[in-house]
Amino acid sequence: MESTKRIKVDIAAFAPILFLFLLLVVYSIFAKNFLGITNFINVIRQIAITGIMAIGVTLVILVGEIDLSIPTVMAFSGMIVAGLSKGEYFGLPEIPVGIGIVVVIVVGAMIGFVTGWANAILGIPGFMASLAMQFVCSGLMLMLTNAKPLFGLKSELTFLGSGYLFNGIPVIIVVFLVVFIVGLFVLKYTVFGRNLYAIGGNADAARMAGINVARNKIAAFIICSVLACIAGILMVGRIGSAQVTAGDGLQMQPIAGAVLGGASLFGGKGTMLGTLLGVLIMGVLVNGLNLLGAGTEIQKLVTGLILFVAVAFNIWSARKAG
Amino acid sequence: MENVHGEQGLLVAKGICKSYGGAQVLNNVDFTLGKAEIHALLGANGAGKSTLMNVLNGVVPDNGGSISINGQMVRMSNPEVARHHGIGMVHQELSVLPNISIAENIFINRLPRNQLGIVQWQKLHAESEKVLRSIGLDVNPQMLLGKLSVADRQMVEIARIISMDLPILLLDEPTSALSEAEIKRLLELILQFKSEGRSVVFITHKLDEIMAVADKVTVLRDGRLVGVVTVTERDKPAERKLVSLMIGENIFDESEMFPEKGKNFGEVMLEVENLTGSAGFKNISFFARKGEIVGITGLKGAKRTELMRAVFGADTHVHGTVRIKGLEQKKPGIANSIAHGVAMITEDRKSEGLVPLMSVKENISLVTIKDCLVAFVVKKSKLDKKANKYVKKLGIMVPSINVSVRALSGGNQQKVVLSKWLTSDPDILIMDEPTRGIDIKSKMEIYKLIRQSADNGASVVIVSSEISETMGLADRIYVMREGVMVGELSAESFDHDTIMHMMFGHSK
Repeated sequence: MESTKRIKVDIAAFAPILFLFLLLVVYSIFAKNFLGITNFINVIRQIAITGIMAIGVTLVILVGEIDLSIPTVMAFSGMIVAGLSKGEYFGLPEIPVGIGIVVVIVVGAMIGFVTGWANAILGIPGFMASLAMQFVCSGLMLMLTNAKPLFGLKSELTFLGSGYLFNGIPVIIVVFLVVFIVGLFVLKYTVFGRNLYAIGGNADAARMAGINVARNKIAAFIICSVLACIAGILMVGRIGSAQVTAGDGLQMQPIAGAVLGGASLFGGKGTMLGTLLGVLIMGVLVNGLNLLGAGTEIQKLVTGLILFVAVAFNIWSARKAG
Repeated sequence: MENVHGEQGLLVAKGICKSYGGAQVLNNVDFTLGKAEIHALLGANGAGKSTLMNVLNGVVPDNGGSISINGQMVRMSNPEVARHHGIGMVHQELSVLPNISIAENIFINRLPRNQLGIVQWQKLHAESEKVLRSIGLDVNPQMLLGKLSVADRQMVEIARIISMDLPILLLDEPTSALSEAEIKRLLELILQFKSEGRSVVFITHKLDEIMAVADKVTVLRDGRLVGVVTVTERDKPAERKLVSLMIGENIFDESEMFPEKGKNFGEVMLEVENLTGSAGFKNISFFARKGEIVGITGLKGAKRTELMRAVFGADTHVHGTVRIKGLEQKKPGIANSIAHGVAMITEDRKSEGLVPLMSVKENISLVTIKDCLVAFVVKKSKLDKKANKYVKKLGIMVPSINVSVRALSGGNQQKVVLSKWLTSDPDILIMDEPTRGIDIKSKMEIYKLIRQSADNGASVVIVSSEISETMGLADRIYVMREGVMVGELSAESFDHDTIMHMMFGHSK
C-alpha cells in the first residue's frame, strides 16, 4: 500500500519537471537558437526578477494567504533607490546606493509588517489586506515621484541589474540563485519553515501546539515584501531606468509560478524547488514562443491555457491521493 | 450466534468487497437487514463498518458483491439511487450548513416550489415544523442552523432523512458527539422508527447502546464478517461476548479495561482558584497533584472544554488565578503554559490536534521541533529518531513514519496527538475527551498510557462525558454543571448514580 502511494505522490511532484523537459525537447526541435548556453542564460536572466518575487510569495501562499501588493512594492522600491541615489527626493543630497538599498529594505519590511499585521492580528484576509496595501503604495509612489521616470542611473545599480561577475555570469542570476538557495534552506531546515507548513495545514492545531501563528504569518509577509524590494532594485538596473509602471504586467506572474510549481492556494503545500520549476516553465514557454516568432497575444493565450491545465492537474492529483 | 444464510430480508448484501489502493477494507462481507429491525454494526476502528455503510448507500462503489432490496438486485452507483430504493444515511461528519435556516437544511435540494420555480416558504416552514415535531426537536425552523448545538444539528440531519420518508435509515456513529441525555433521546427515536415499521442500521462503539435497542448485531473485524448476533439477552455476559468477538480476544470484566488506580500523590502541580471566563464558567476552583489523574465530568454545555482552554491559556479568562507548580501565571498563554510543562490534548483531533497534510513524523514533532535543532537547522535524523521512539513506545500502527496522518485510524491518530505532547515530557497533562470515537482496544491502550504518565510523575486532568470512563480512570472526580463546579468525589465514593444526579442537577 505504501509503495503505490509513494508512486502517486511522485507523479504529482514530478509533473512540473516532466512538463519542463517536454517543453525543452519540443523547442529544441522546432525553435532555432533555443538550445545553447546564451539563450539559457538569457531565459534565467528574464525570470530572475519574477523568480525572486515568487520565492517570497511562496512563503505567504504556504500559510494559506496571498500577497497582491508585490508588483507595486517592487516598482516603489526601484523608484526610491534610484531617486535617492540621484538626490531627487525631499531635497536630500545624493545618497550612496548601498545606503539606499538598506532604506528600501527597511521600507519593504515595514510594508510587509503592516499587511501581515492587518491579516494576522486584525483578521483581514490577506487578499484584501494586500490589495489595500497595493493602492496605498501606488499612491505613495505617485506622491513621491509625480510619476516622473528616472534615467541615467548610478553604475552600482546598473551593475546589479545588468552587470557580470567572473567572466560573464550575470549578477542578477547570482542574486536569484542565492535567494533561492536561502529560501530552500529556510523552508526545509528551519523551525520557521516547518511552522509555515503547520500553520497552512491547520492553523488551529498549530496554535494549540504553541506555535505563534500571528508572528510567523507576519514574518512571511515581511520576507515576501523585502524580496519584492530586492526584485525592484534589480529591475531598475536591468531596464536602465526607474519607472512607476515597472510592475505592470507582472501582477500575477510570481503567484502563477508558485502555483504552477505545485503550491496550494489553500496553504500547507508547496516547495521552493516547485516554485523555481514553475517560474522556469513560464520563462521557457515565453522564450520559445518568442523564438518561434509568436506575438505577445499568442504568448499570453498559451500561458493562460497552461495555467488552467496545470492547476487542474494539481487539484486532480491531490484529490486522487485522498 | 449464527450466520444468516439464504434468509429473506429487506436489504441483503452478499460478498461485498472493497479495497483502497492495495488495502482490502471489506473482504467478502454479507449483511442482511430485516423489516422493522434495529441492526447495529460493531467493530474496532478500521474494521470496515463505515465503508460497508457507504457501500450500501452508494457513496463508495464496491469492488464485488451484490445488493438486493426486496429480493430485487440493485446497482448502488450513487446516493441518489440508494434514496430511490428507500435508503437514507446520516454521516458521521456533520453535513449540515450553518449559514442557512434549519428548514432549508432539511429540504435542501428539494425545496417546495410553485410552477414558476419560486420557493414556497410557508409550505417549507410548515413541513419542516411537522418533521421536527415528529422527532421531538422543539425549534423554530426559520432559525439559522448555526445557532443550534452540535446535538441538535445532528437531529436536524436526522430530520432531513426522516422527511424523505424512507424505510431504511443508516446512521454512522450518530451518538459520538452527544451527551448521555441526548443519546437517550436518540435511542428512543430509533425505537420509534422501528415501531413505524422502518429499519435502522447504526454504528456505535458503545455497547450499552446496542444492548438498549439493537435486535441484531453484525460484527466486523479487519474487513471480515466475524459474526451476526441476535440480541436476546440484554446483560453483561452478552455484552462481553460481543467485545471478545469484536477484538478476537477474551475480555472478562469491565474493571480490566482500566489500569490500577494511583497510590502515591505528591505536591499540588496545578491549582485553579475562582476562575471565571466570558465563555460561561464561573468561580471554578480545583487542583491536581503529582501522580494523580483527576477527572472532570459533566453534560455537554457544562463548559468543561472552555474551562480547560482557559487553564491552558488558549483563551483568556476574566478573573481568578491559575497556579502551575505553585507559581501564579501572570501572563497566561499557550507558549507560556508549554514552557511551564503543561500540555493539552484537545477535544477535536481533526480540527485542533493534527495537521492532516503532514506526516506522522512531522505531527509528532510539532511541539518540540526545537529539540531537533543543531545550530538553527532541523536535523532529519533527530526527527526520525524521536518519531520512531514514540511510534514504538505507544504502539502506533503505521506502515512508516513518513505516511500522512490522514491514512491512520482514529485510535492511531489519537496516539499521534498523544505522542506530540509526550515529547515535551509534560508535568501537567490536560486531556479533553481523549478517547472519543476510538475503538475499545485502542481505548484500553490509551488508558494504560495515561496511567503510565501519571505514575511517571505527571499530573493528569481528563475531561470526559462518559461516567464509566471517568470513574474507571480517575483518582478523583469533579462534576460540572452549566459552568459551575457542583461536586467533588474521591475514589472511595465514586458512584454512577450520584455523579449522574450531580450532572443533571436534581437530588437523589
